[in-house]
Amino acid sequence: MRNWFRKASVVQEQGTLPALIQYYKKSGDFVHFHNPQTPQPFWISYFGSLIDVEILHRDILPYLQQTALTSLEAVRAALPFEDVLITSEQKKIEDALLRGSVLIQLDETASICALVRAEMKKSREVTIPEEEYSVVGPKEAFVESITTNLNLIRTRLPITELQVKEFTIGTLSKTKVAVLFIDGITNEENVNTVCQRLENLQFHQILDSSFISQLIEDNTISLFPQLIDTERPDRVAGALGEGSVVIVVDGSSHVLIGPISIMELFNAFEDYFVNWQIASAFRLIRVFAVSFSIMVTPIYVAVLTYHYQLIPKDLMVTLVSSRRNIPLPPFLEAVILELTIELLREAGARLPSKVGQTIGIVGGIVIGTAAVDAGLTSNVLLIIVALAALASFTTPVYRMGNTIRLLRFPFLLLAELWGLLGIAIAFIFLMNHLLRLTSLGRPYLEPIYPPRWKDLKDSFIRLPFSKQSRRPHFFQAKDQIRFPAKKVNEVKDIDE
Amino acid sequence: MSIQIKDEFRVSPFLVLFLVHGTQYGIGVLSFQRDVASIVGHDAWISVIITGVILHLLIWMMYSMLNKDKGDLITINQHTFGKWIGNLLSIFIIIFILSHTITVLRSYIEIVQVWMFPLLKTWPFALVILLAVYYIVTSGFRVVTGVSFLSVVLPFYLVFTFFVPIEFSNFRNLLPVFDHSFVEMARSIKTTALSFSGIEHILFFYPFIQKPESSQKWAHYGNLLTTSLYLLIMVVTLVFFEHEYLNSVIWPTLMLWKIIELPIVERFEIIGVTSWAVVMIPIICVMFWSASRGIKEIFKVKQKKALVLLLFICFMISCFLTEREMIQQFNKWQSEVSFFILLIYIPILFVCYHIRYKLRRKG
Amino acid sequence: MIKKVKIAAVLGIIFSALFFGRVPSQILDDLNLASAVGYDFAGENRIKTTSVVPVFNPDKSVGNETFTATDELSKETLRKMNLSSARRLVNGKLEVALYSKELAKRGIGDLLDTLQRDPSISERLLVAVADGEAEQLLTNKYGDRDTGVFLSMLIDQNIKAGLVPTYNLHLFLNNYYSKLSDPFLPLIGQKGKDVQIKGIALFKGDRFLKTLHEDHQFVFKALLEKLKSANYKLRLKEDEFVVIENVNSKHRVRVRNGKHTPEISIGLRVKGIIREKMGKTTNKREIHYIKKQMKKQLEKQGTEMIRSFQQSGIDPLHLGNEVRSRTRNFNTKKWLAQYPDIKITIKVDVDILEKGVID
Repeated sequence: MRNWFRKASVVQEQGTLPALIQYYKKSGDFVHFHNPQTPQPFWISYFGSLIDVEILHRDILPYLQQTALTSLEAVRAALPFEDVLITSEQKKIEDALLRGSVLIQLDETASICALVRAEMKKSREVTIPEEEYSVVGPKEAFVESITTNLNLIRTRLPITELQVKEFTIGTLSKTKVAVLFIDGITNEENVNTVCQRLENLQFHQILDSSFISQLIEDNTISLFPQLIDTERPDRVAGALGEGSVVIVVDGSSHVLIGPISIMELFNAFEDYFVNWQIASAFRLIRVFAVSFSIMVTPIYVAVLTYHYQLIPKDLMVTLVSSRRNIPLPPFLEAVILELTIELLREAGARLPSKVGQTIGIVGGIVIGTAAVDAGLTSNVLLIIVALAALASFTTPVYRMGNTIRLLRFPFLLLAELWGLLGIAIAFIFLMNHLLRLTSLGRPYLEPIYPPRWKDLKDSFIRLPFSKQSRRPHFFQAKDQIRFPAKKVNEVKDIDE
Repeated sequence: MSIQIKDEFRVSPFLVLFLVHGTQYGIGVLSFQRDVASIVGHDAWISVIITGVILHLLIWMMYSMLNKDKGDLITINQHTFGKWIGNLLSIFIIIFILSHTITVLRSYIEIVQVWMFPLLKTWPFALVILLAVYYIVTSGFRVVTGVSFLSVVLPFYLVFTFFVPIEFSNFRNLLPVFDHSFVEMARSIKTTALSFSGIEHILFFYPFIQKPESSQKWAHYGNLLTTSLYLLIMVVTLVFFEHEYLNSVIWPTLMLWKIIELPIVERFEIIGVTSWAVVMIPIICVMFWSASRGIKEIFKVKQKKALVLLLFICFMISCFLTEREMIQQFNKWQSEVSFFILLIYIPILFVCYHIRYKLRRKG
Repeated sequence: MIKKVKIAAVLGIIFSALFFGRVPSQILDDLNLASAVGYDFAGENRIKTTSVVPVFNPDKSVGNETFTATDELSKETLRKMNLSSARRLVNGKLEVALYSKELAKRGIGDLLDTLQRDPSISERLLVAVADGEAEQLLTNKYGDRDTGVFLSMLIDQNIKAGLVPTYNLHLFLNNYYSKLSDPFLPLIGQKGKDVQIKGIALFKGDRFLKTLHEDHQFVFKALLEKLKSANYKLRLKEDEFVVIENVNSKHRVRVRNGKHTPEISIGLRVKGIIREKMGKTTNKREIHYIKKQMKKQLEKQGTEMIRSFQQSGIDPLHLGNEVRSRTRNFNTKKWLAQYPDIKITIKVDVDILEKGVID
């Protein structure tokens, strides 16, 4: 581990601070200059690409030039910064330099120095969420800066119990990773699991939160996301309040939430902004849409290949006449059409959004109509595949959409092999896989299995807030009660 | 004496309902009506009720042993009959369970071959099913229970399909009630033993239940659910078929589905046979789990290895059963043995165990 | 190491499933889905089978194609018909099976076997007797659908709103297998270019015995099931008729002395609306008269019909089952011997609910 740095420290071990500086000077953006004119001469060094020059010019140099610098303590007193670090430890010096500090020496040969933070803060403005857009509700989304992100979360939870544990992960990237939880609500077991896994993590570059989620998931072979990534601070705050653990990664505009159960993948945070009946209906529609999206093309293939008896006699005319001149068997027909849709989707995702839209229209309408006219696919299947593609977009978690896209193909293959029976077998494997899966050690299929009736209040359906006085059992929260339950009112008679 | 299982591997008591019901309600449902009705005719539903009641009694017996022993079948056998004879008996039971899995698997494949794919080869299909079973059983008892749970809950919609044939039924067929002698009733109970067997697995998974004493009522509920479903199916079959016609039908339940015609689906029996793959899976899984668990305890080998061996034997024998007549003969033997184990062995064990227990206490 | 063995085993299973587990496919557009089949007598022990196959044109219209073959076994005729079919002929979507009258007279038991044994054939299949040659009836095209679907729609419609009692393959087989009752089937024949239901064919066992008298069809259906909406033509005087519409009915069987010599009395309650009437206005007295006439006519028709059943020794009305279900230790043989001579009475109650919008 950390081979790259080992090499560097070999040089440093013999050398003192001046030797170190000599080593850094090999890099073109390292600045080291001496200022002899001021009352007291001093040396300044920094990585030009990391610091904010304005801070240096406005807040450091004028003070250094005006004051008589007798010692480093005097430097600390002179500068308008609250945390001027005075140290001779090479590791700290190195870390600070690489995080955008300015190194100040009074004596070029001494190994003790002062470090002042002047890092360049570059971050986009907080914008509206794109992947998890919602019509109602707040419109803030996370950005790439961890400080901004933590700020977005903390302003929603201004309590001292919200605790942050920081880690630095990645031998090359040195990414700051923060684990957030609410002390007194979140079960420590979950926090410990996350911290343990992060500590044991050995990786070179963490460039996004998805790296972390892929690395610390319970089952890395599984297609299913076992941690949710979200760009909505409100969703994160809500999750923290339920008792989950949140992982914020520097440089990533997505924040990870865990543990999750599969139902979480069907829940948009928008569901909490609308009426509970409407939210419940939408959730059921999403569950239906996802199962429809996975199953419908395989069922088409199975029925047309093996089970012609199942087709009602009135539907027969439509089906047979649409398939009469198609040269391909249903399986190939379906695979080709599915691949076409995937192609369109992939092309749309790689292109800028405006061109992407055009591709969608060209692909959807022109190619589809042409394929049917040319007798390559039946129009019934075209409708089915297009509907299935549409249905797969209903899931509010983007990564789940990818899962659905891929999950269809094994089903399709087994449908071609054994018809409906093949679909049933694929379903058995899927069911077992989901039963086996855990998220941070918690059962993934909860509240379906293990069956917890009380947790159904916020899964397939969402009951009104007044019924949500307790936290879901799933998180094993230390404090189960969210707010005191309302007392049951006496039943009033008419006009009383 | 007692067996201690880590808490994280245990399941909550109420899931026993699904374990018991899931293992009982399987392949027998599709064909049990004819054998019963050929003896007691339109009174077959009464013998279903009687069998249900007898099974409640057996569940009570098993729990009264298990609650005292805090172990499982193997330890109970050892405590009652000594180490050697006890283990021998346990091995017999394990062999019985193994042959039961063969019955279930082969009968299901036969149904698929008759109703859906006449040219389906037995062995590739059996391999795939057993692969699924391996995947499930190696995931541990929690997942096996989960499979039983989902396999009971998800295909539950099939219950509603049994009401459809009533449109073409004649309830006069059930009358007059109790038109057969007690001897005939007793004989008919024997034929239902295979369809009702499955409760014996309580003797294996008892230590895997949290607060196992409290699970007894759930086991009773499970059996009650099975009995009521069997009763429903039996009554519908009796009113749907004329007695003489029923005698010539091999799978009456599938014939019940054949009459169902929905606007989007004609010929419902294909959906039924397909759904039955999901219904059948937990039976095989629980059985393999129990059998491999038993072998692990008797011979002190790894459960995974025992499981692989059992799966292999099951696979080989299933492939050797090729003809309908052979399968039927095998099922007949299995039914006889089921009857013996459920209605003779368990009561005897119950009596012996309690005598031994009293003696040991005095001593 | 073990992991590698496991992966190899899983891959092996997937491979063998894909390569050895394949089952022959029945792709929808490579099949000729027979929608009707007809059986004709073709010499001793030989049958002529006619299959009707719908031809689905790309413009969504449906045509008709027929295949014929002669052999001893009906499944063998299927093979022979396949000799002249470009797409495989399958029976999974059969809607109607027709037996010619001549064949039905000789017994259709052996031919029913193929319909029962084949799991792909629906229990809702409509079996019927063809008045004349089944082949000829099937080769013509009627209406806008293929002949099979057309015939099934025709029979279905007449079950729902006409005088054909509810039946299908399952109910037919129930009656056929039962020792106590005998089956019946609709009789279908050609009338000029059209096809029509000509009546009810009564069977004794698997043999066609006779046709139900046209006047008895109403009371036959009423004694088998609850009528929901039927028409009844009532003769008031020599040439004065009235039509009662939307007739509802209920019947109830009472059995006395089932053990020794059973006596059966059937109560039938009929409710209806006057829709068309010749002659005078419909005042209170007139309606009373209609009710009385209708009661008399129905009772007469019912008694005549049951008498004729008893004389022929057939029981399509399940009267045997009614007696059995009310008698402990029922003796089937004794009942069958007694049946022609037992006393069966019918009592009818008539209600006229409305008389339309004019008086």
